[in-house]
Amino acid sequence: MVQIDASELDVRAINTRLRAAAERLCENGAQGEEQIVLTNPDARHNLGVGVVHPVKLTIQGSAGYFCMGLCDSPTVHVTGNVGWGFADNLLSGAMEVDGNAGAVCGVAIRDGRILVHGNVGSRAGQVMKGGSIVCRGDAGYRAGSMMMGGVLIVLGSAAEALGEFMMDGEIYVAGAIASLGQDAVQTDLRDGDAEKIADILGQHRVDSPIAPGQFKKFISDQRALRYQEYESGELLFDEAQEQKTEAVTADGNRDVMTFDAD
Amino acid sequence: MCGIAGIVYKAEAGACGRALLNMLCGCQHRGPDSTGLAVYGEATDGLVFRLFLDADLSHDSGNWPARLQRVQDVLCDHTIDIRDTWHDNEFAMITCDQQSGIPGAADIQTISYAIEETPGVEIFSAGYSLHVIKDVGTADDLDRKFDCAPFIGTHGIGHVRLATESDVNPSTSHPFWAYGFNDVAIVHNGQITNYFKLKRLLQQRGYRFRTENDSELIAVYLADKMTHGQSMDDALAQSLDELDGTFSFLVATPEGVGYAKDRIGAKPMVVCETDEFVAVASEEVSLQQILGHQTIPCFEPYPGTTRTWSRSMQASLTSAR
Repeated sequence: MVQIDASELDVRAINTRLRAAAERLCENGAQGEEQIVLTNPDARHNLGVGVVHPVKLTIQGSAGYFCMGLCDSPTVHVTGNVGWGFADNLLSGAMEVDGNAGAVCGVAIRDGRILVHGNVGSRAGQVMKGGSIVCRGDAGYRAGSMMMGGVLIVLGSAAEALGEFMMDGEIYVAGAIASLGQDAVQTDLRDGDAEKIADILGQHRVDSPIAPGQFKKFISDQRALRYQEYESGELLFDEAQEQKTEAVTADGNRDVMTFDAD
Repeated sequence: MCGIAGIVYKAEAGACGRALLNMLCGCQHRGPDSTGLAVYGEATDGLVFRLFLDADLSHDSGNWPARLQRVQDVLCDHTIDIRDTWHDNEFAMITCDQQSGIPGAADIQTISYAIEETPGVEIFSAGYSLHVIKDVGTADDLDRKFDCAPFIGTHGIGHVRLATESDVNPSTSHPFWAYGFNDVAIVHNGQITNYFKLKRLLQQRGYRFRTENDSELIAVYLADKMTHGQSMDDALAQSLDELDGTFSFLVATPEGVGYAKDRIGAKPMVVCETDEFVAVASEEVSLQQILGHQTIPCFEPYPGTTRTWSRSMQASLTSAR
């Protein structure tokens, strides 16, 4: 186990040591629990940015803004809270936060999974393109704002403007919804959705407060930030919608649908 | 950016100066330009004026004693006796004697405006318990210059500034005293975009402004409402509708501290409550400075909300309508 005490180091030095330790551990093929432990983080900003090795990292305490940004493949456990922009642009890996997360938690993640045991602030999952975010508490204003893919699961309730201008992806909420954002719509669960929820929660070993089949599902109405008409003018929105519906029926999975404007 | 901080002690007065300085040190990265505190000590029976004697930024130290003397003359003209005067270069404090009739809000406004007729003199604060201490530089600089750490107070607010809207000098530093209204101060992180419109409205009601800073508007705007009988809760709730722009701001009166956060949630603010106090700051990193590097239960209030913490801790929550 590598222990890094943040109290006497500036953030650049902390992150340089973290990345070096991660690289070394992976080269040596080290296995085991808690390979790297960061102590005394004191809610400072930019901790753990740029870790691109599949190591286990525990941050003992709270982290500030942009914690674990630009990471690929680590398994991270933060025992306190995190500030704004947690796990920004995550490519893969697993993130767990025991406390609350600030605004834009999981912004622009491409893949990987994030679990927040407390509440998430405003705009969680903003412009996420893949992966999953699970919030066990309540989600703040505009959760899933402008999301383009992936899955956002809220086990508590969601504040105003849920899914504001979302373009794609899915939001599942167990509790109450204050209001829906523009271009977001509620829809029925499809075949496989309940299994997907159960699977994601299972990965995090989190119990669902309700049966997976009872979650409310929200998707994009795809009218605001999508061209209603392709540049060639060949495919109008309704036609595209029809083709999409057929595609869904054909393979039963929204995510793999593509249609070609040529 | 800018960073804000606030603390309200639940039972007895606490080490308010030290706590606020530590919180501001923790978020100095949000604003290195200037630092300031508005702290509330035990209420006195006489008015206390905190003065800045170089408001014209002439930096001519020869002027300062004469300017202070003129302020003292103005107070004499208003039949106010001076108990004590402290003076360190361009910063001064005058403590007045108890008056036969304690000056009311209208009198304080008249006296304040009269004092500021003196060229180069600016009042940083006036009141029975409020002290506004602010200058360019960091929290450490402020403490070295004014020795604010030992200040014992019931509550207070503080600010580190990254200048975006106006000059960097002591006058445009936060906190802003609500010019003309005793014992009201604010700190603000954000921009008020309907500043000129609201400022004109308030000027038409006879209020004066000292700076071109949008945050000064919030102080006068709220003090005007509270002077006309509104509670702090109501004034804050209305500010969500009437102030345009991005903001997380704190307002302080002798009764306590309140916040308002804009509807988009563009500016951060976290809250932590312990048995002894409620602390508010832009970032958790500030709270860590006073809570001893532990995992603390702090939360970020939702956009479009307001809340007040009175010294008797009857907190109330108002949501955006």
